[in-house]
Amino acid sequence: MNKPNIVIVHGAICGGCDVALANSEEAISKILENIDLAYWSVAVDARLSDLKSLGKIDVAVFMGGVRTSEDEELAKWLREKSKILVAFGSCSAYGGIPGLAALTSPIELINLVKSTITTSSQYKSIIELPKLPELSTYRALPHVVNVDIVVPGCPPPIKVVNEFVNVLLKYIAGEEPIGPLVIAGSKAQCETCPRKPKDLSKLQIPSIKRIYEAKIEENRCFLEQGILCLGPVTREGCEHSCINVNMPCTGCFGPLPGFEDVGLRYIAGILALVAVEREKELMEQGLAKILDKLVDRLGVLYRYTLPRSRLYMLKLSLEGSEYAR
Amino acid sequence: MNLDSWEPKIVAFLCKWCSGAAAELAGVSRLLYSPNVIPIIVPCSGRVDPDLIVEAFMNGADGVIVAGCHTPSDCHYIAGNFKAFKRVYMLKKLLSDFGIEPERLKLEWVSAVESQKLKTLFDEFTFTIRKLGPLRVKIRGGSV
Amino acid sequence: MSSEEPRVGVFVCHCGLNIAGVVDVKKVVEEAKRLPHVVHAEDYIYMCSAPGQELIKKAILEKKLNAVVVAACTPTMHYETFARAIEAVGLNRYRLEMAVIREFSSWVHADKKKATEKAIKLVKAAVVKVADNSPLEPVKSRTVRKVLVIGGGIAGITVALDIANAGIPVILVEKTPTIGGKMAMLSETFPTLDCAQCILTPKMAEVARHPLIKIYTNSEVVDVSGFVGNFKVKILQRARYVKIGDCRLCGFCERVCPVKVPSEFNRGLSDRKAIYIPFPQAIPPAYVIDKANCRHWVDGCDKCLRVCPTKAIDFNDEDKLVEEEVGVIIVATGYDLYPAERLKEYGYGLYRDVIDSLQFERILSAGGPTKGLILRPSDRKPVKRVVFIQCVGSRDINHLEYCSKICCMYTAKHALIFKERVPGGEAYVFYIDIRAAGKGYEEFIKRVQEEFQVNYIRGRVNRVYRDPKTGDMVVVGFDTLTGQLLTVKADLVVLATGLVPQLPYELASKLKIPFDKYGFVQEAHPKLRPVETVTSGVFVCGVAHGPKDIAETVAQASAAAAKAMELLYSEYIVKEPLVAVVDRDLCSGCRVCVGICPYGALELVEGKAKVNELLCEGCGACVVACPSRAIELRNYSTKQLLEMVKAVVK
Repeated sequence: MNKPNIVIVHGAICGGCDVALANSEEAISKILENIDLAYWSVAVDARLSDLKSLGKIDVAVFMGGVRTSEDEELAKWLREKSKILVAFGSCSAYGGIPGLAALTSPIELINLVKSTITTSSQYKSIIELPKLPELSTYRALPHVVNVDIVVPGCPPPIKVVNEFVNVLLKYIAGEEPIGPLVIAGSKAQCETCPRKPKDLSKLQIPSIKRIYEAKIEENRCFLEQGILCLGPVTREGCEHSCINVNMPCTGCFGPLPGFEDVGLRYIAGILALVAVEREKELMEQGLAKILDKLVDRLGVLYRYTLPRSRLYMLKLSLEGSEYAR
Repeated sequence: MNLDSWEPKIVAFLCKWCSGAAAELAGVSRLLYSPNVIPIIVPCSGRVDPDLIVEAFMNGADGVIVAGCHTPSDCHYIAGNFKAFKRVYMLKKLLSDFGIEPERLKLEWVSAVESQKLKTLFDEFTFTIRKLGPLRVKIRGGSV
Repeated sequence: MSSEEPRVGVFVCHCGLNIAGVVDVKKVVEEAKRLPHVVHAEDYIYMCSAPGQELIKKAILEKKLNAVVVAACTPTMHYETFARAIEAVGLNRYRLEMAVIREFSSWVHADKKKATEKAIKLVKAAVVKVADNSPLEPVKSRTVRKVLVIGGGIAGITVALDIANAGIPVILVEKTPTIGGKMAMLSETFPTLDCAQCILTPKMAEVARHPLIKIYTNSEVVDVSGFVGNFKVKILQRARYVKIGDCRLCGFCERVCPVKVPSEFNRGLSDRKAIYIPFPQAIPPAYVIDKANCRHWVDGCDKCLRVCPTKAIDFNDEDKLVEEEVGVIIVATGYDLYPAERLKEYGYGLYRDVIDSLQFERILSAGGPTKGLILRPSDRKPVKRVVFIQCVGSRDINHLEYCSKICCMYTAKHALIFKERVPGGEAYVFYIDIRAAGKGYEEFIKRVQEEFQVNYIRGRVNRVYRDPKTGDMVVVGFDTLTGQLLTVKADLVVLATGLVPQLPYELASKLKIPFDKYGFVQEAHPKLRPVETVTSGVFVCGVAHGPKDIAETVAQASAAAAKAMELLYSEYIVKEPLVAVVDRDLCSGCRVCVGICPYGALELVEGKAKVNELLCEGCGACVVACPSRAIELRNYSTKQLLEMVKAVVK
């Protein structure tokens, strides 16, 4: 019997996901043992034309966001061809860091790139950018096509990669995955967070501090110390790699099941809680000021999820974008 | 969209203890105001979820009003109005980040007796939205 | 959510022409019929009338409706009417919604077409909401039939007696060593000139001997937890060092005590000892040792101990923390006078002959430092001329913006008693306005002005100083009626100082009651719920709520007592079930909701949030805040509100 095959392709990506996959020896060996690795341009010498010539595809893993017309075409082609389509990594699943550029129009981006080329000015006018695929409206993969499995993480941690491969193996053994399946917990980070609050009964956030401003106590809830942590609005399952090294969660595992806009959830809950004990006295002179301490709103609230947010959908629909949902 | 026949659609989330009661009083006092504003009564301005406001915009509202009890001490639930303040303040910033005029979202404190203030709020906000036109985004740069 | 498929009936009221004159009710009915879940819609001239209600009941039975929308006036007006109507035919009252098409549409819009469109939207929103409303039953909990009264002034005494006389036990907590409050310091009361002590002390004695009243003096409430019907309070009872039951009030101890300090009760106009009784009729009738000033803890002095014939003195007494369970709490913490020294122009604190109104009360009192003789404090010379200054602090944007309400009357009373006691004496009153609204009050003022010939000068005083030659006080003020600057010499100047609330911020936050910007407790509704606070089970009366005189205080105290008894009359507390509920399967235990809740209604139990239904007031702040969307507000769920939003904008 023929082994089922797997292809691994890239959209807008930094390459971290490839490294993450390659790093997991267990996952790689299981894949190689059970599945025919038909295409993975960073590991196997193959060209896009080779991919396109494949007769059938069982599993397609898409890494990175959909940035160009080429990415989009590829995503749609894969959806049609493959039985299982996987959004691998936060860029693919939720938009990721490059997704922060989604609010800037493609022409603006190109102009920015051109304006920052540091070639001596006399050559500047004759510099031409290489011919690029056309930039399209930035989207996460599930926004473009339906996906069967979501593997979150920036990049996905080894445990998640292994679990993902186990799901694949089960599928190959004949068990249909119930999609879309997210390889992560369904609760927030707090459920399993190893840090302990000082006040066990309730959460209080006296003020917002930026990381350099605080001497962050280890083992104590970040929010209590004024450090904005996305843990309460982010799926658990990453084994708290950031939290364990005394850095707050930035949300790469994406929103909890049932809602998509991390930023709205965050302002509704966590930011509404800031200085809750002093609201009355602060109202006159600076309840707003205290919130202004959050300067990089998009970078903090939507670091990995902007292209999947409701506000982005709203923007697209108002622009009359064909991608509006 | 035919701009001549366009009428602003405005949703007003009114706290049942203050602005909701003011709306009742406006009725009893027969204060005429803009019919473009449709009220939704909520228990407290602190019950207004940013998602509700975004939902209103997504479904075609051109403006949203949230009206609660006066700060610092009028809130029937002690501090719901402060929550509304923080949420609306942050949402206005986010709207603007996403290219939507923050003026389309307005938070106002209206007590149960301030029916005249409510009427003025409704009329002036309708006027503001009329001037802004239908909900749209300010497109930066243009498309490729 | 109801398990069965919603079958909604829409009933559109004409309200005569009030609605039908503007809104096309037939069109509303037609549109309603097309809405999802709606299986019946009709209109009627007066839905609230008996035939109107019959029509609703009939439709419920015939069309098997399980939810009802009445498009009419406001829920405030008629929710109860329609709720009872649907209950009569077996529907749960929470399966009713009202679309306010009168106050929110026909009465406020002239354009018939637009008003009709808006009415349709309001009906749509009500339909989507009611379709998802759960049938609910009221929340019930057993009550502790005991009342805590905080404050032992006339308000607290009245409340305690009213409640105890009805057979409900009362715990009365007073901060000072005796009950009686400010009223015990007064000489006579306006406008009848009853002697304050004569009418107060019998009540104090009644409190003392009442089998159902437990008094904690020298005590403060330091912690409050729980909820209506089931409060747990911690009371810090400060050591008295004198055993209450053993003290016979012989006063030997006082005579031998070597320490003298200014008497609080006489507001510094006389001295007391370190072992003292505030006034002879104090309740409990026992001496008390003021540890801060007693020499026992400095040099081991034990003179009082040696002379006490009943061995009532116990230097080993300790502060005790007492816990009590009560069903209702009544706040009657009263007032203090605004610190008159903050008004520098009047020289209070600088000159001994400038005194505040309570000091003057003590001077007038037969049991006071001068035995009722009107002598000036500096040299005990009889006072012949006195100047009263009204609105000291009150109605002044730099001090107290509000009117303290009682000063006009007590100043008139002061002037009258002065004129009675000092034949040929002269009294001047500087005032802004005279506010004498009350039974017999205006007549009293007139009597003081005309019969007793007190000189009322409309204007403010800009300076008070001592004439260095004569030693007299000189008051310089502007008479706005004659337009002249007046200089009045006086032996004594009495300041009608404003009232300020005494309820400490910490206690208010423990009780979860809001107060206004001045620190007076905010009532639940200024007209209709004047003694209730927003925290159910906590009531307020007396000046803690706002300036008022004794008559009003007593009336309000009785009102608070009645409200407390209303609550405790039944074995159970019954509460609206529109509260928050947590889905424990979704909760991640982040504790955001616990911090957001202003009522402490949420707590973490085994790592998950849990709502105390009796503490939850149903504001929904936690519902919005929950990052996991694990909390819902019953019948105001996020899903319902989202549907409502869609219904009105689409």
